[in-house]
Amino acid sequence: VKLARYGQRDDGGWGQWGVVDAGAGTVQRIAADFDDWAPTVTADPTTSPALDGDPVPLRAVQLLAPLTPTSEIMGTGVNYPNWVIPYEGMDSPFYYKSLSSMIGPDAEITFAYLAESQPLCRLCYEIELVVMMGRPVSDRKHAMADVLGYTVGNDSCVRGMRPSFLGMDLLGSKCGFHASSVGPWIVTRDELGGDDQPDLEITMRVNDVVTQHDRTSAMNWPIEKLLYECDYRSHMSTGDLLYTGTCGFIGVPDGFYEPADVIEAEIEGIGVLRNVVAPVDPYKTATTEEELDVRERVAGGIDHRGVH
Amino acid sequence: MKFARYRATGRGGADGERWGVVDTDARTVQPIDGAFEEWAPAVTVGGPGAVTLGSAPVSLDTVTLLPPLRPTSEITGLGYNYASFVVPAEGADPPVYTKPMASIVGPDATIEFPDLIAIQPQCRFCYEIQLVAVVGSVRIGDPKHATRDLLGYTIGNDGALRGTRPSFVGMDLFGERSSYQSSALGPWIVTTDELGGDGQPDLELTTTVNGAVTQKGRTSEMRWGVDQVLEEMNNRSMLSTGDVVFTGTCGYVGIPDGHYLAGDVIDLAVEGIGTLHNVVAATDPFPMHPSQRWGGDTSLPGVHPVGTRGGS
Repeated sequence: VKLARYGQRDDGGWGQWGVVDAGAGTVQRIAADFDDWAPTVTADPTTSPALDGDPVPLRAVQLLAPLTPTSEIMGTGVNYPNWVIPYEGMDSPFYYKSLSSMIGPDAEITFAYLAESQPLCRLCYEIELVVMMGRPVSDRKHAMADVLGYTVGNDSCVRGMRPSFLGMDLLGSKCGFHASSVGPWIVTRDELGGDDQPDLEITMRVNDVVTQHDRTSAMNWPIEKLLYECDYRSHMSTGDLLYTGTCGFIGVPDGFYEPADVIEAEIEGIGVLRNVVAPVDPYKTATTEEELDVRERVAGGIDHRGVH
Repeated sequence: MKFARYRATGRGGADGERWGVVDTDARTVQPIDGAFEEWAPAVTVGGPGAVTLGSAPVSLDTVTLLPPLRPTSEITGLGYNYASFVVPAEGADPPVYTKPMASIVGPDATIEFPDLIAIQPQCRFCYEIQLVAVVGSVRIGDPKHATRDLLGYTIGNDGALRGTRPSFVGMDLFGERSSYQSSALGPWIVTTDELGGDGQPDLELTTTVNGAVTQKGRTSEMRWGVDQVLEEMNNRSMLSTGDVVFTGTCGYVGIPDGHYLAGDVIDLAVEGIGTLHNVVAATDPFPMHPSQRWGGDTSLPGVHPVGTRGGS
């Protein structure tokens, strides 16, 4: 079942949840509140929630980021060996993203404001499989049973910012206003491997050129392990999202955005999350030799790669 | 003016939750008409006169105070902001982090031991008194004078799980600061006009555990003043109405850290705001071995008799 949050165009409200029929190109409203139907569907993902009213064409609505006002948005990194190979015994790095960092399908990606005070910063894209929790975790060793489903995420991050003296500044990296996107909808886990690790092709295209490509089966830490570690640190609850890490880049050292880029993140069995980048980067000065040098160094991974 | 979020005792659910104006002399709270996201920006611009009060005041004894947060509040903080705690390297940026809503309890509520101790038993769970800034404006106007956009200040007890294993990219601030019901906030927000106005406040901080003082400092000692803390935070994640920023803790008195023992009674006082009172869970599910206490130095003074936590 495909579950989407949607509203009227330019409404600005929280909208409503509905069930998408991708073949027919329609969405139909779910009668109950998210907090009521999500745990029920999670318990048995083959059941569709009770619907209300008539199906409406998808083209007549605006799909919104599939989350709720109380969703905690979490992420992890270093999870694909073609991006970074972890060392033995290493823990996953976890972080939070802010609600204000998130946009939905088709919305415009904003260049991160942090670059104004730290001019060496550059905003980059990262395709990620995103887990949505359908209820609180009851057994940490079997937390896949508490997953509602999966969606596509673009986890934009700022690279090249100054670290604090405790390490990488993950808050500064991951929380840029309207820099990251999620959607277009949640696909329930029964369609994507059930309680087992999903094995899905993930593909990032920038202006129609493939720049990231992998399978979710390649993860260093499978989702079950991530949920175990994450829930030990921060109790997960209904509607919470977990970004599960990005894979390596192809043909480019890193995923820097350029103004007006068209970004299409696709995951097999879910769909395409499409966004456009703001037409102007207000924090970019000239493309000088010096700046290109800095980009090379940042892309070379001095700060965030290098352990192989 | 003091703003509290509260629920009438015995009433469940979000329907019973309200914001009100507290009169500490009369020990009452009077409900405010309208939504927080409407009156909070108005008060921030126009002063306390911008609130409209609703029905009659009720006794504070008939309500449960809740953490002064909106459901969508972002909760962020920074470390090492008082030289009495840690002196950071010259030019080092403050380490910043996010806390989840589920980590916060209100006044008088029970603080829980973190589950993460079960798989990382080397950790010590500690309290930290912090001045907490509450944003009133929808957006920060002048980033160099961001305290102008504050509704006011409240008191935070930022539960910290010290000693977590670092990840590949550095210290695990996520694991350290996110535990379920490990931190407290309240009892209310005091508007900036009562605490020195815009700019840096100079208020005394005092932590008392089981009647003994264990932290003491003044907010004027901050390495990064509140204006700069807000500017740096807003550079990273846009601040908006109802967001709260923890501004760091001061040093400990006579002990190297402030780890909890089961059943501790903890009172955090900030001059001009009040006292945030909490109790710690009566049972520690993961008792600490005495060798973990203060590096095993049992000669250190403290508020707990040596060896009262675990030991076998």
